[in-house]
Amino acid sequence: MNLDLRLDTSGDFYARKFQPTKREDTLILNMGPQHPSTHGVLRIILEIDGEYILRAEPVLGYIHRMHEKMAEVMSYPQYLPNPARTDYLHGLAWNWAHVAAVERLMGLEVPERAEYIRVITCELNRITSHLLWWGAYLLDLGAFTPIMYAFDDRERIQDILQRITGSRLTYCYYRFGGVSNDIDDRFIEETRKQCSRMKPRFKMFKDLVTDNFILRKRVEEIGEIPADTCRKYGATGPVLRGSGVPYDVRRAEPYSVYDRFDFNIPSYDTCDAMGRYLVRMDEMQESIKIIEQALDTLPEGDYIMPKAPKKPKPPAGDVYFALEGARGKIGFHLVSDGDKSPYRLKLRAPGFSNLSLFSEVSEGVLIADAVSILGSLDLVIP
Amino acid sequence: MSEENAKPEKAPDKEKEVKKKEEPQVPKYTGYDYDCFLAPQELLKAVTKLDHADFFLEDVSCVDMQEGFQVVYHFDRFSQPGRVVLRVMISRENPEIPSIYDIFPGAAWHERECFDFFGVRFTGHPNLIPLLLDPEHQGPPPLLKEETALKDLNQLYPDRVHTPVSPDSEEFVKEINNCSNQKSRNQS
Amino acid sequence: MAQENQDLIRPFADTATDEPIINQAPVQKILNICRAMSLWPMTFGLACCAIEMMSFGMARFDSARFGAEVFRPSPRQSDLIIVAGTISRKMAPLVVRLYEQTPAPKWVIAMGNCAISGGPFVYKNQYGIVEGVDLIIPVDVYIPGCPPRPEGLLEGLFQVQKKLTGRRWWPLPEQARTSDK
Repeated sequence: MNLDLRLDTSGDFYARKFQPTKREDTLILNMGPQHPSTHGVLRIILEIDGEYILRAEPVLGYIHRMHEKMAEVMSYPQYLPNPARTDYLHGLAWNWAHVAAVERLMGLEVPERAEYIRVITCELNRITSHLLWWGAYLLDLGAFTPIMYAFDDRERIQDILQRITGSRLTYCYYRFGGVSNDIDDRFIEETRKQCSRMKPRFKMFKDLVTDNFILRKRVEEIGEIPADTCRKYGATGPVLRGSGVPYDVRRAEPYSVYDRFDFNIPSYDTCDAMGRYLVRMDEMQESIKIIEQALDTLPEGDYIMPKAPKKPKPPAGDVYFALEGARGKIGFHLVSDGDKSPYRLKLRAPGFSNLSLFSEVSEGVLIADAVSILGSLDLVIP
Repeated sequence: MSEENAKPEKAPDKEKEVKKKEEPQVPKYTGYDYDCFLAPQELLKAVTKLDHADFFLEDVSCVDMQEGFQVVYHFDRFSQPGRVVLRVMISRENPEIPSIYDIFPGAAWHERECFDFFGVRFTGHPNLIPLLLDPEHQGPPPLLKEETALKDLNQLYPDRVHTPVSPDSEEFVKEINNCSNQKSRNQS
Repeated sequence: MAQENQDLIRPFADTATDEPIINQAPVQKILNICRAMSLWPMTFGLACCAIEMMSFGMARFDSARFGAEVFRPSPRQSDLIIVAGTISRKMAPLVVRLYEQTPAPKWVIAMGNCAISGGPFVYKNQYGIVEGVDLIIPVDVYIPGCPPRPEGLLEGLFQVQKKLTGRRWWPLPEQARTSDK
């Protein structure tokens, strides 16, 4: 009996455009946009045969917020709060990429102290981002407790950042030529305390979760992404390092003062979800190492350059600024015509490239594993 | 350099303004290690060469200007980091460019994004449908500029050569093989 | 199954509900108190605010103390919709559908500036977002902020409870009380 259910379910625009395989007796299933494991609003059209995925096609744009158009409409300082809302988990990195692209185009020299403050706050933010990923990923895999531990530490770091930046999540702290206000002794003291508190916690996380064999069954040898696939799709960040390529923009294309710190770039060549998991767990410890070194060598001086432009008007030309975010390489391609707002601003969101390899990786895997793969990519959908 | 940007002080106000116009600021390091213009029909050849030289695709972007659309491809390399940018000019009337999907499958979404925002058609793309925009979006692509706001190449990229390079030329091959951000930083 | 027959883009959600089976005031009053003390919010994160909504349920802020513990991913099991984030035009029909799928009685919190009015993403001739969730579904409580702090969301929850039962159940914070005097 040839019962083609697909003829009845023409669905919406994307479901109609979906190109299924030629197999018979398959089912087309929409996962999302309202789905707990899609982290935000992502929709995936799946063609499944039983529990196995034959074809998957992500549909995005449910959270498209016109950032690129807004950049052209608004002036440089007006656009300052926007980048942090692009990737709300690692907002400071985006904030940084924006100001640094403008600084690079104008040739501004940022005071050393400001660079150190940027490094410290950005790394603290990276830890909060990874902690949230850790909790939410395990929540996807069915473990509820770890997210409580993750939020415990996360809230403490957010308190530290909030005192100095003024917000909990969507930061707007960096300014063209520096940062908006200086850090004080209390900040340094609290940060040190938090760093020393976190170190034993990682061991506890490892004992509690990482060595748990139920978790290992869910992540080991799941979602193997060979390094060459990463290259073809332009995947970066922990996804790439989990595939054995120790590529980190902080080391490969050193910006700010990162070349002064001693830190490792963790990479695992298992290529599976476990590799990506371990990379992130190690990265948090590396971040703490960077923060402690930066606090030790924090220079005195200005936190913003004395004649920092409030309303910058960069010269005509274009620059590219790349930066390592929690999810991968953030790129700002800024084209200026010498006016008070950019002529064109292109944002490279790491999650965008990382997600694009999902449809290749998920072919032939179980639906439950697809959830694990999605989580291990750590997505913030642009 | 920074002083020129800062708010001019009261007295030497005009002098600085004049000075600013005479010497346009040039960024020390633009983030590009090799920057070239290509003819649209030679894009695929150049991208294949980059693929063989172990580059990965960062993004595909597009700039709307008087001469037409400038499609910008950014590439970088894991083993020896250095950014290569390929710029291709296509006309506004007939915005068509070959898709590089077959060489870099990751370009598929970037190209769909350009199609959304600018209406650039990538020939040979398997699935050129709106990615970020609502499929029921009315009106012209949102990132197109108004005629009056368009700038031309010389306004946007002063002091730069805009003649296309051939990907077969020795210069191109040499440049992409030696491209490294360490080197270009030391030069600047 | 035939989705093309459904009107996917509706100007405003269908708000018609049936009469309660036992429509007596005292019964309803008791039921409302029960409902207020066990609201089941839907995990409906749209953007940045979703992260603060997570904090709201986690260790420090712990919404379980106030009777809104069980986050449900399915609209059919929940009765409190927290619209946390920007509603793009692509998402709008789905928000309407989720609202209609939620069984009555149901309450809606518009969390954050984006859900209230489009927030920072409104400019002249914008092409992508819905300027306020109240244009497509009815809203009970608005919580301003970009994003609001979890305390703000807790206060919003109290307002929903107040709306249900007619009184505030939880003491005001120390500072608010002293400033009242």
